[in-house]
Amino acid sequence: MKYDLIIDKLSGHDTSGKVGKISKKTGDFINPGDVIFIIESGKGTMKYISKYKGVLEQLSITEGDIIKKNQIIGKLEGEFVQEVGTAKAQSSSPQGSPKASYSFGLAKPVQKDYEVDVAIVGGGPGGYVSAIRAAQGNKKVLIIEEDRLGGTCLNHGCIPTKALVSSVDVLEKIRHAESFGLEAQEVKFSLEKIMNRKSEVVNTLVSGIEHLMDTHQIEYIKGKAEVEDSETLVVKNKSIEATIKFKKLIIAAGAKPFILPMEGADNEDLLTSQDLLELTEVPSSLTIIGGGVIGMEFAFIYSALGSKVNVVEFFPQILNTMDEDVVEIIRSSAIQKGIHLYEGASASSIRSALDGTKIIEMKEDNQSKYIISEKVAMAVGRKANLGALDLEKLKVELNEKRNGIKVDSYMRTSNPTIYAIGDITNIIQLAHIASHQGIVAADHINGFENKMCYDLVPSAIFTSPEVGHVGLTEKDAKSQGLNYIIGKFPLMANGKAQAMGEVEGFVKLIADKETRKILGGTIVGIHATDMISSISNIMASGMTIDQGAHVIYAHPTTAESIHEALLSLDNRGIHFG
Amino acid sequence: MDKLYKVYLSQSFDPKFNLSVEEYLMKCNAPNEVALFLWQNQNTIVIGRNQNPYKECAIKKLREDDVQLVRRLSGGGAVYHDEGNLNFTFITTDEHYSVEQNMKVILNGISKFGIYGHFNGRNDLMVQDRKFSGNAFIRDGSMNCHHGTLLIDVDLDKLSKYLTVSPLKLQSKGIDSVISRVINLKQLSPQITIENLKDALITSFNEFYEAESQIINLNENTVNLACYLEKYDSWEWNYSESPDFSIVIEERFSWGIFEIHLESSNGKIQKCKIFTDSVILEDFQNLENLLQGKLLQGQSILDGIKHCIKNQEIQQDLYNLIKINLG
Repeated sequence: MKYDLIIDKLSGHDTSGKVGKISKKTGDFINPGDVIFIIESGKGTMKYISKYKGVLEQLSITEGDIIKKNQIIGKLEGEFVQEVGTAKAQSSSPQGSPKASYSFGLAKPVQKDYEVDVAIVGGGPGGYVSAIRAAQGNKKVLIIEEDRLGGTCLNHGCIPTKALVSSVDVLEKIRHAESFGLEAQEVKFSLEKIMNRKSEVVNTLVSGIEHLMDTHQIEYIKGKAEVEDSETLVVKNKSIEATIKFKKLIIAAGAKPFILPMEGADNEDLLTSQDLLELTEVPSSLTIIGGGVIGMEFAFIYSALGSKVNVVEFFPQILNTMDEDVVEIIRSSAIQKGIHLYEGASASSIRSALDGTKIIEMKEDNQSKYIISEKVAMAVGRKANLGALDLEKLKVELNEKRNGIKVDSYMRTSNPTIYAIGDITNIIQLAHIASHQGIVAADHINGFENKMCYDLVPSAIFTSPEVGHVGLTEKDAKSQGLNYIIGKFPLMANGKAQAMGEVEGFVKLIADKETRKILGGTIVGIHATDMISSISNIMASGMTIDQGAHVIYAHPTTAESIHEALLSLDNRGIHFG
Repeated sequence: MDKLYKVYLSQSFDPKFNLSVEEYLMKCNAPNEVALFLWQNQNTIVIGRNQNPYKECAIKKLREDDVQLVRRLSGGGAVYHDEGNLNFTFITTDEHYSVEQNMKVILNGISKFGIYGHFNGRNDLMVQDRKFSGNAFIRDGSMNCHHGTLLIDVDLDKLSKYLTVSPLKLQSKGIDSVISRVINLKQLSPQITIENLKDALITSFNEFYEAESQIINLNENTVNLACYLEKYDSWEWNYSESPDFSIVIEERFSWGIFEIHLESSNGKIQKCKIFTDSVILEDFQNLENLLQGKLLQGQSILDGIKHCIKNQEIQQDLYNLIKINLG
């Protein structure tokens, strides 16, 4: 039988290495356990050892080549041998001590006591940012994370989805090659490889944060924190039993996917956003309950990969907080891509057919309707991990709705030595809010009183096309009874967008008619999420329309459409209106 | 079963013996053993597993000054050891292995002398932006070896003398050494010595693991490592276990320009090409043919020259040229 020789592991977190000395060549007979070549990465060496017995038919590497994990480096004709004998050298041990006996995994954890200025529970974008900020104030900091540093955002949220979005973007570009004057064969992809790339991106960033903890001399313990008393935490893992006395505590324990209680919601086949990041095969059809940001991002990803996607949204429109004209762009793009949207429909049950197919029942216009699909996922928001710590023992109270920890504008809880930040406060569940709250909390501990302010919170939605938003929507302005004006510029009239062949969308600004200051903005279209910070800056600086319109925007860029939207507020647009 | 903490101290200054000990410990340690091994080499150049000695160091100077050259199992670049250098090695299985923890043991140890270094996150321990410890790693199955140098009072002039990159035009696909700015710890803390640093490292190791480790002294008489020693003593391992490379040696002599191109694989000359504008008729063609398949070793080339070149002057010139460059 023929076997591919694959690089299945490299030392540590390394994802690539260099081929060192090669000791076998094509045509050689190989025994299991034979060293074929040496891999060198990060000054470490590792042997590439054969698991097979047979003839090396092909070796497609030469000394000095860079090799990557999962790369196929050759072919061997022969047979797989189950267990490679681990022959031990038979020489006697030093000082003639008896040959050591074997034991595995029963090492006793070491007892360790820490006394720190700041302990942080949770290593997500809230926790690790607050750790760095506190360390910058010369505090002795210890951070506890039970999974991996980077939290949901980095490991199961923002970053991995963006890695998938990037793969899908390339796929879509190739599919539309013809409109750019190119000819491409039908493009093939492997979900496994796309997922591997995603994991590589995540691993790189996680090790980056580990490195940041190191350079700021922040103690990092992996494990689940438990409350001993209102000044002490304990963490037990395989290697240590740590007791941590803290002067201040920051709770940043995050949130997890919320599951709507309905018939079939406890079905173990029901996928969460985290599961959607781990699929190894593209489902033929996928129904997503929840047409918010997370649901819609996955709808576009899996639709591009070939799934027949249905989205069931309870509210009258997908992305319900956004203005109708914004949603209309996304809606028509989704429909054009073959995504079925059921808006104003409430899912009421999930049942399994005999062959495992899922039947989703929903109510639309008071009628029961059914969708059949291979997989079903739920993305209806996230609930705070209030059970992560014994809050009562810590004397930390919940908010009025009892769905998050109550905090003041310095992120202090009802216990003044304890702070809470991020999703667990359930104020706004966004990574950049968590990070900012982390900075506010750490600053307060370091003696700087900067209040947390939620007036100018941008958001980014990676649908196709993408959406960036900051400040008030038109809906908000209307419902608050403000005297406002609107400026809107379509990307269709922007030179760069035309050149890129990405003309869907617009820039929309809302300004106060009296003060002539910008109250909010939404961009839908290419580069929207990157451009939105320009509008944040205009708003934060308190510029009037006239001052803003005096700024020069580089040509040819999509950002010129922000300038045009500013001009449109007074119906003075140059290229449109 | 509890972890076993052991500290091995080498009483030998022979690099062949010390590298044999490492390899032996990797093979024979119990899975629950965490070993720290401290050792020193007399004037030695230690090259990385996938390096080419001809490229990394001035072979001629090594011969002249009686400096040993040994290839180690771990990756990375060439280093110079003398008795002002202390080497440490951590050997343990995946389960107990952490480079960061090892680095902490070392850093805590030197902090007892008021020196506060840090791990640069890659392979080096630094203080004041200068390197005092270079580290490299071996992984074999689930066994790991992490070793590093500690510059206490190393002769830095010699270090740069021997590690000056060869003037040969040499192309190799292996691993290149990287030149770093280095510092001797003695410069930062005059009271530090090899002996009191050893004590500090052992204390730090015990403190870190909250253990009372067993101390074992090793020398050529207490342990028989013949099967490993043979390898580290062999020309084949030290010189010819390099990735393939090609080398060009050229020189202008009174009788003309002489240029020899050698391609080497597994220590043997695979191809040889000679260019010369010498007007004296000599059978260079025959020399080319003769050298093919021979070991890329000074002696075998010298034999070939003796056999093919009749002119005494040319023979002597080429003899010196090869001797200088290939030893």
